[in-house]
Amino acid sequence: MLFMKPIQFLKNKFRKSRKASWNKAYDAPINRKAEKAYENLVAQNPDYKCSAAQTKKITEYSKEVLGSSAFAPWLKVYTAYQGEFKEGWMPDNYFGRVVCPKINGEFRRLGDLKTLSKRILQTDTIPDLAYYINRVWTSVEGEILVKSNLTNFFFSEREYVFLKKNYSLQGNGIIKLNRESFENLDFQKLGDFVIQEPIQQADWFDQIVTGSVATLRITTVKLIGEKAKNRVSQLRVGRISNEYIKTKDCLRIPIDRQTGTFYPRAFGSDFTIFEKHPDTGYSFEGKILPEHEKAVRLCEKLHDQVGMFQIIGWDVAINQKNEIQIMEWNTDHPGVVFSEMATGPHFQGLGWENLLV
Amino acid sequence: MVRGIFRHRFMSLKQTVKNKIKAHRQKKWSKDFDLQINQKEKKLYQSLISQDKSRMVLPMQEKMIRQYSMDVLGSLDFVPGLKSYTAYSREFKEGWIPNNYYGRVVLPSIKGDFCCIDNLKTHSKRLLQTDLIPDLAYCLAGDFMLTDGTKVCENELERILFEVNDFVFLKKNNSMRGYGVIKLDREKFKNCDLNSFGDFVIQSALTQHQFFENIVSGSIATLRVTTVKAKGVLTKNRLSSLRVGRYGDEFIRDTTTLVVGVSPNGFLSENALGENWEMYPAHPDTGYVFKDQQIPFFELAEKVCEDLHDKLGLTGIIGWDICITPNGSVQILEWNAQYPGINYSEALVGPNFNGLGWENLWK
Repeated sequence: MLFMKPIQFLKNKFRKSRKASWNKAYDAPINRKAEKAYENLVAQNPDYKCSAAQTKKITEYSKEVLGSSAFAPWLKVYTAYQGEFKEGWMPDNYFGRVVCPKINGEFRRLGDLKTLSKRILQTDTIPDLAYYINRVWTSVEGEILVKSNLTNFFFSEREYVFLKKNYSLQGNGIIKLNRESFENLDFQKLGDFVIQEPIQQADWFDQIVTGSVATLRITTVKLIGEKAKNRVSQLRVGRISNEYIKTKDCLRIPIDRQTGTFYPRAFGSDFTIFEKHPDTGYSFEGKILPEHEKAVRLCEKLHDQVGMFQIIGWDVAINQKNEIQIMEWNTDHPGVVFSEMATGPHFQGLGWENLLV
Repeated sequence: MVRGIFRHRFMSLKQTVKNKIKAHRQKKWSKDFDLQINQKEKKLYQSLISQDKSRMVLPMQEKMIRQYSMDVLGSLDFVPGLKSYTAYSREFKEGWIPNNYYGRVVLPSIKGDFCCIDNLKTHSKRLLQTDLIPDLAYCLAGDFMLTDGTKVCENELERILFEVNDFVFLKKNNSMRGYGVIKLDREKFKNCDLNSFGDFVIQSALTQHQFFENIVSGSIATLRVTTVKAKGVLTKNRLSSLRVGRYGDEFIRDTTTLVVGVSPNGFLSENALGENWEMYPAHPDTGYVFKDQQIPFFELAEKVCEDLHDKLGLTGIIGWDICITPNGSVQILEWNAQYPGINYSEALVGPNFNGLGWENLWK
């Protein structure tokens, strides 16, 4: 019995040390991005540099409220951009390793299963055509598809389709296929995936940039007993060379979540600030996104119906018929840094800053 | 440069130590896992031979079991499970999967990442995309809603539920094997605090086919179909059993249930087994004799489960609990993707998993 106590003490010490190592490894790349973001902001305008007083406040808040100085780097980026420190901000690593696991629970990676998204969300707004599950093809209606009919099934009415693998995110794991590339692809190496109809975006978006489909990111929060509410709206547009939006090379335009109006400045993936699209010269200020309200209502309704998660990041598109289509839903770690920086804090009053206490 | 070499060697050593710790931890976990299961297997073996001494495993059979366990399955830790199967069958059969081999070798290889989503009874209907689950309403994050997504208040819910039902079943998320299931009539529904249950589903009561009523009435007999989805082939049912209750049971519970084996053609096995493998050639309360009775609509039940598993994917094995109604409708009571049990049916009608290559998974 006496012998067990020291062993238990050592075990607890070991577990604590392992947790600390894991946290350190988790924070390191995220905070490196924060440091680069801060450097880039200051390089664009030295006025963005945080004062000593602000830095002190950030460090104090990070330690006393959020529980660790490891959360300071992103607070510094937010403060630098807005010119003042604000309580309630969510640093990316705090959000990712403290908030999301707690509020979204053990199934938070469910949004990664693209083969099940349509049935979980119970919506026709996801443009699925067929699924490849454990090397068996099935249509959306559930019919087993014979291999010899596949090319005709997909390409009799369209020139290309998009293949999206399970567990793919941020544009990775997406393959654009025409008839020829489809026939030559070795599907067995890809795991499970969905084949989706290409979305033709509404003409309104072509004035910003053509090529990729502009993606409206809506972030809904649902508390117990309350309706889901949108907290953040943001439009992502690609560069002129992109076939589809890639997280590492796109522009993010903050949008007023009440009115759908664009804010005057957009941000590149490296935090470069743009008042106009660098490839087309499109100016952002004052533009109003069409169907913004409709998109928000749809996401709020779907979040209400699915329950399960407290926060969902929705990627939606508006098509040629002005219908809303869901491209992705993110329940693991919806991105918050750009919106927190530009127009936040967006998650005040939810108690999320107290989760480590 | 010297510092770089030293650092590299230190990192390699650190990684080696980490790997050793991991391997040791895995070995310890496996040992604890086997101990727990094998303690039960030894009790089951003792129970079988105490009921019938002639089922005692002979020295020659013991030798075959030990050889098979070591050469084919890779360890002597699987002997107790094979021994209890052999005692029941009176002969050793190749291809058997002992419970601990299944739990720590097979399942980790074939289970999907999200199989614990079977705990979410509130989402089963939409996940499986079927009308064959008798859901009436849900409580999700404090909201009450009908199966079409219409939100309702508590009073409206009460009115809708008890307009046509005398009683309903409330099933909490993360409930299984009858626990977390509450039978509610209108009075009980009014008096219970619905907000204290977390998320839950409300289901209609089911009536079972006369075939099952003849075995025993009171609880719904549960046909277990276990579908296996191997890569590149359509899903197949591999293992079936029938669980029946005892007089006085409102629903099937682990401790009182009897498990009857079901052959690939839907015929009941000679015996049912109790919790400690007490053998019953007839139901102890009604005298119903199990042998040679064929389950009605068995093929249909298999087809339903195989189709649903094909379209769902998610995991390599699912255990489906089915009720067959008087008009032959197949209703899904539960689905188990985390640890669908196999050991009763392996003994009663197995081996059930030949040809899947599971005996090679440990290599």
